[in-house]
Amino acid sequence: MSEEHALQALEEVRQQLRTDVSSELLREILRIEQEYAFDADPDLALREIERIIEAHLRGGDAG
Amino acid sequence: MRLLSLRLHNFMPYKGEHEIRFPVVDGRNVTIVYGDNMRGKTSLLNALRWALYGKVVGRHLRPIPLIHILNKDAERERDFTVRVALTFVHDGSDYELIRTMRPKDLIDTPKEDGHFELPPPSLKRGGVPVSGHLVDHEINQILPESISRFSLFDGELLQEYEQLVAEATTESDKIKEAIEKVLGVPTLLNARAHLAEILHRAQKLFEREGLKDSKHGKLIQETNNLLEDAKREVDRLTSLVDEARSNCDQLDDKLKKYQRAESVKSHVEENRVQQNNSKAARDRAIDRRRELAPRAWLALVSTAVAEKRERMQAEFSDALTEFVTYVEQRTAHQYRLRSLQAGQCVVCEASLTDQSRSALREKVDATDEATDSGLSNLATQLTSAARQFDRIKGLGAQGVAEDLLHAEREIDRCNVELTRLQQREDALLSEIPGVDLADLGRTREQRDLWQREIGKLETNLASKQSERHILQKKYDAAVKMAATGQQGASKLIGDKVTLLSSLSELFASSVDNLRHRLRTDVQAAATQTFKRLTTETQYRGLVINDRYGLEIRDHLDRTVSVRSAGAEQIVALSLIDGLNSASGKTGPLVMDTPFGRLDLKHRAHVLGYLPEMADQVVLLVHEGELSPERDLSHVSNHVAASYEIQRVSPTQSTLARR
Repeated sequence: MSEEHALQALEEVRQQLRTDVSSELLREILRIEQEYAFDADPDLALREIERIIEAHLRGGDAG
Repeated sequence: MRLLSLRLHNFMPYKGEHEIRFPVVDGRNVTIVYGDNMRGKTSLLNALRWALYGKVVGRHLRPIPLIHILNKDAERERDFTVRVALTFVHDGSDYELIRTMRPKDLIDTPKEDGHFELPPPSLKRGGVPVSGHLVDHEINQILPESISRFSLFDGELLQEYEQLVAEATTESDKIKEAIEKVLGVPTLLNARAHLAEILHRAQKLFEREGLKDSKHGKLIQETNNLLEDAKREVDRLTSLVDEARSNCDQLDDKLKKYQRAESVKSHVEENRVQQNNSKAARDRAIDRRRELAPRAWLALVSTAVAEKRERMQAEFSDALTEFVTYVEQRTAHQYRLRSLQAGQCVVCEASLTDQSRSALREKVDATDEATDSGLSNLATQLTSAARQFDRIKGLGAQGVAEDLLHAEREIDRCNVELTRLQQREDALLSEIPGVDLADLGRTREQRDLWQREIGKLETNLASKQSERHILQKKYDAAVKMAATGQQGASKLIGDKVTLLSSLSELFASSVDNLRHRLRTDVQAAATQTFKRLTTETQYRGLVINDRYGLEIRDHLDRTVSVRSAGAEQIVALSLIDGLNSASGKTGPLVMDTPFGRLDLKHRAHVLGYLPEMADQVVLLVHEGELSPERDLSHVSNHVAASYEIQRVSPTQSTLARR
């Protein structure tokens, strides 16, 4: 929908705060939120994000 | 999403089976459905809503009881099943969605909503059924109900729409929420909330794992305490800023009403000046009529007076001729008398003979008496005629009738003008009922106070956010140091806390940035559309506010505060187009009675632009608002199909291809 807008806003703030978080991870979190935005169970998105973050950390990149 | 077809069975006026197709071929993306009022245009829109969301709404979006969606004739014939089947394409897949309503078992004759059962809708994607519990999820992925108001809409609501958006009400909050859903703001808000929760859990776990007892434990705990305090303070200040902004918004809304009232008031004052001018003109005409009235009778006798004047003039002329004759005779008499006395002619000086003397004597004697009495009579006649003439001369009625008529016409004209101006004043005053302009100054003062308060709070908030950011960095560093050298699960938890802290802060700080970015995009896109649709070429464009309300700016960049119903519709269409453009949405646009309030020029502009507004446009119209002869040429190159809703009976309609 407007993932690009959200991603651009995040990128802008990331540069301001000089936070070292990968764009892929941000994009992945947005994708999950969009996919589960209208789901009756809000915890689905939460669990999926947590899973992605843990997978991301296990992959060796701590952000 | 692109609609393919809609099949109805016993749905509202459509008894039995009916089908409408929505083709899109060779750049032709408009389907037009003509139908008179009460024939079933809105029922088609409702059929789409019911198929997608199981809801049917009436005027002002009020829900319609389900018992009323069953066709009355079918009900009489004891066919109580209602079914709507919608086929569409989305992301390259074909979908078929079927929703059915039928009587519950053991209910012989359903009389109320509770007597019907509504099985879960059946949805097939590419011919494969979608599992029942995922149907709503799938539909909400394709066209979420909360944002369907920007795809499936009733033109009659358009002009109310902008007002709803502009004013701080519960309904406007809902619309703002729906708009932000279109634009994807909740994605960021949800992510922020989810990340905060995951972080909180990870921190607890981190503490439980005993890392606080490590050499860095004390520092982590202290920093965390400070960080938590800073977060609470940021939340408190954020909530105060929101509250202050909300108060300021409400006062701004009030001021807008006042501005509108002021604008109306200035029109009323202008109107009253015109009324006073008209009253003065009428008073002058009344004075003139009063002045002319005593002489009005002259107009009635003017013909008789004119005749009398002519007659007297003739008599006077006759008397004068006679007088001249007498004067000539008297002069001749004097000559004769002097000649007799001198014994010679006083003209030629010839001596008088006895004969001529005797003839002269006779003439002198005969003339003397007659001449004197004639002159006396004539003098009396002439004096009398002159007196009468003098009297009648003052009775000139020239122009009195015309002047009177002119005065009467002026009085009538002024009365008509005064009635018109009074009606206009009443209409203007009815636009601002109950607005107390005396409160304007106080409201401005309060708004200014809140703005100053917002300024102070924002400064404090920025400082606290900066403090929180520094503490967050300290905390992250402490966690990182603590995690260094840790192995396995403990290290993972430490890394997780650090990463989640960064992500939480990033998402939290991005929400306002995204809102600003989106508002800017919506404003730019809506302005572009507005300039295409409006007939006023001098308008500079639209300006968006925090509530996604749009103001029209004139050529001097002033807000146009008084807007017609047609202008409201144009602004609402611009907003919808701006939202769709900013969200990158490509759904169908189904519009019910969208042109009712537009004049011919605006209608032509909207029709010309509609095919560009969406990949697919379905217009549900009556011929009064979209005449096939007059208006269709603006869009005819884009029309892929036309239907007509034909009356079968008062409770039945059918769809026919045109």
